Amino acid sequence: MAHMAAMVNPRIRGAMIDAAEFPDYSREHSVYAVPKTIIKVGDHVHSFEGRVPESMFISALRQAVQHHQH
Amino acid sequence: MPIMTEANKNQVRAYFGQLQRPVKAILVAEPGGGNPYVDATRELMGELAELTDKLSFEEYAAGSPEAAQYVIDRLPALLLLDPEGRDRGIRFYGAPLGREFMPLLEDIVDLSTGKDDLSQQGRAAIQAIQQDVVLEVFTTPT
Repeated sequence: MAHMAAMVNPRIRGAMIDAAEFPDYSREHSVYAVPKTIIKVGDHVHSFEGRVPESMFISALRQAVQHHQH
Repeated sequence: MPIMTEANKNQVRAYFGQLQRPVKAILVAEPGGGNPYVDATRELMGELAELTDKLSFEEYAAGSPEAAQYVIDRLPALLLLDPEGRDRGIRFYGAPLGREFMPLLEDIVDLSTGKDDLSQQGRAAIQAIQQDVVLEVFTTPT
């Protein structure tokens, strides 16, 4: 889903990260269960865990973007 | 050491039957070698590129002028370029094995065909975002 979002919007970069290969970065983001998605907008970081349907993914994304605007 | 079995290769070859236009994968890694994840990624991408003439694979050293064209947050990074050679912001950090393997194949197909699995409404909502966003999905190799 992160990659699809990147494909349709040039302002979005979508990455999949192998948590085992980046343990420090994973700890920094408190990755205890996978998949865990973090959404970075400016200095704000939002996150959610688990595989979610498109509607939930989009609402999390919109929330992160709106939060940043306020 | 080969990564895919012959059975894997046959499955991927069949899946790649839907490819239409050429996609390019680029691995950016620190020069010098010795990273088993990089070796695995190089091997895997080489094997995938042998299964179709619609996928090419190149490797650039981190810090080289070729690699400097792309925004890369960590290494090793695998990027996919669309048929026009454009960077669409797709990144795999670390070896795209295990849980990342199917997404990799799907991304190659999506870029090649110009399609995605988003609903029309979902796509419109994502396209409406006018801020820079970085999405990072942590997964595990198994």
